[in-house]
Amino acid sequence: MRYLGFVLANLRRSRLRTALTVLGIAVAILLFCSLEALLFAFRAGADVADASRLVTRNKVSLVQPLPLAYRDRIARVDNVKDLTYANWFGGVYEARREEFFGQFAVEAESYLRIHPEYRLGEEARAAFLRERNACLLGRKLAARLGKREGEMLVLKGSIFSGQWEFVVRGIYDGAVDGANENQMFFHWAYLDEARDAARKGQVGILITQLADPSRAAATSVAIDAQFESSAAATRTETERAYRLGFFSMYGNVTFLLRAIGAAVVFTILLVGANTMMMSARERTAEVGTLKTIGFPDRTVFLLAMAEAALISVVGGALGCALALQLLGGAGNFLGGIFPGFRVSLATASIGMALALATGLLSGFVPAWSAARLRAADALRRI
Amino acid sequence: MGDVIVALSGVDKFYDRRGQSVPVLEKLDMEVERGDFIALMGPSGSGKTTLLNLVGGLDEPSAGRVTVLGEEISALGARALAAWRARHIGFIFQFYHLIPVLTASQNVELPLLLTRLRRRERRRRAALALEIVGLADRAGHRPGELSGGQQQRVAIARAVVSDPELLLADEPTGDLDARSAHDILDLMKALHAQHGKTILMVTHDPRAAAAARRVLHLDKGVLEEGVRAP
Repeated sequence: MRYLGFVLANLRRSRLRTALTVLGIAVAILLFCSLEALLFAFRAGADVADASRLVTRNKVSLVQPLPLAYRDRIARVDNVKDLTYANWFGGVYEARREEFFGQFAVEAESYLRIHPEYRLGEEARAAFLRERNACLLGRKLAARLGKREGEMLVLKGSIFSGQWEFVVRGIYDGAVDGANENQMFFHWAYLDEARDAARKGQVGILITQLADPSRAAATSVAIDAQFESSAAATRTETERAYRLGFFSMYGNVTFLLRAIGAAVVFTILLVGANTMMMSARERTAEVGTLKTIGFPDRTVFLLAMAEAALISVVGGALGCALALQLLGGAGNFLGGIFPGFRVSLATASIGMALALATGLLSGFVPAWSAARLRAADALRRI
Repeated sequence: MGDVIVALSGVDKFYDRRGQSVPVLEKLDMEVERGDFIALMGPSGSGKTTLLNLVGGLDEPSAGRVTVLGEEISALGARALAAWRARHIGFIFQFYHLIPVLTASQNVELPLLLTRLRRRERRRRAALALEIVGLADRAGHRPGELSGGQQQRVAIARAVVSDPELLLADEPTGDLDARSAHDILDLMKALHAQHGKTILMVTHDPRAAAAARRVLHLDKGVLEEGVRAP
């Protein structure tokens, strides 16, 4: 602590340079936190996936439907305890077109039964099940759209044409951390009855609840074997694999984001190293003076490192604070695309650690050079 | 014969210049007695600053022994030498070498950071040192806000704040106008006469040399007793 004043005074030497360096680090850490939050969001959906659930879809593609009739054959497969089905709707909320969110036509009773992560009051549940065009909104989605129970919600179909009118009969909460509260559910029967005869009785996916999750692999094989020779062959996988499959469509996103993150970290390193080198070079004579007075090499080294660490910590803290402040509610902003998008304290901590590590790393060479500089040589260079 | 506190014996110093060994000092012997005030004169490149650096433990001899205050400093390691310097030597430079971002008081306090003294005591001693050099009223000023002569006085306060026995001054008046130089020399004479400091001062200036009790001439590595200007 006795050297803190000296370190702070040195940082005030060139206020603009120090401020710009701190700002550079802050922006880099903000970017790093954003990328990590994005990665977290990619994984979030998969992380809350229930290990005891399998998802069966058309083997050709996610957009190809399956006959609802598959339900009964799957129900007979060993280890299948319960079953439901759902259909992606893809409607547009015309009143606020910028609000994107996932809408699913589901077999309501069984869907809610095997998805306990969506918590709904008994009264709302009964009202939802009772009414043909009722819908459920997640708590965050309802807040985004400004909808309350009993209000109408009109969507314009993009896959299923026409104006679709719904009544909000329930607002569900996530019962587990990461549960998506930015979705809308409504009755599959309401969708099906409006479809033309050729497309009736089709579903997007069938979701199976297993009696014994440890036998998930064998059950998947058994389900798919049922439809191997059918016109619509199936692909059955765990819910986690199914959700991750969505993101694999973007390519190797994790690698891309990590590569950008590494570039960001490397940039911090260069910015920090440049500042510290410039600062050290300007102060060669002062280092000589300190050594002449009797400052040992170790103290000179630690003083230089302390400066680098302080700049990085302040920059890192600023970056993390900005990330928490600016991106805290971005999950809502990004809507149903990345419902899990948020900067967690863990991410912020990693950001801080990264800022400190890069600060120390960038300060090491100039600090080491200063420590090794001989007093007589330093004074001679003036 | 008085108490010898600086003794150089058979000291050689060579510098390596592009692979060539350039001799600066050869077989040099020198003694400084406690309480002496010596002006070391000589042409540029004669090795005066090198000699001062050797005595202050900032440089090591290529051969020979340097003993200061009973310690053979030419045998000390870097860390021990730094600690020894902090305890026993005060340096005064031609260009003051104050830390520009620190106030006069903070600059003077710097050597005391290496001691175990508490903050209040450090500040008290720094204030006292500034008072001795006549700058008590400028304690809160940064070097950029002081004249050359005032900066050199702050540098002298820094040199004496830890009460070293030996002061080494390298052209302390070399960057000052005549008036300021005169004040600085008066101050150094007072440090010698009233505070009992032993001073070894490198200078080109015969008026500065006149302030000293002894004058030594260094030329081509040979040290000779000089004549003080009247």
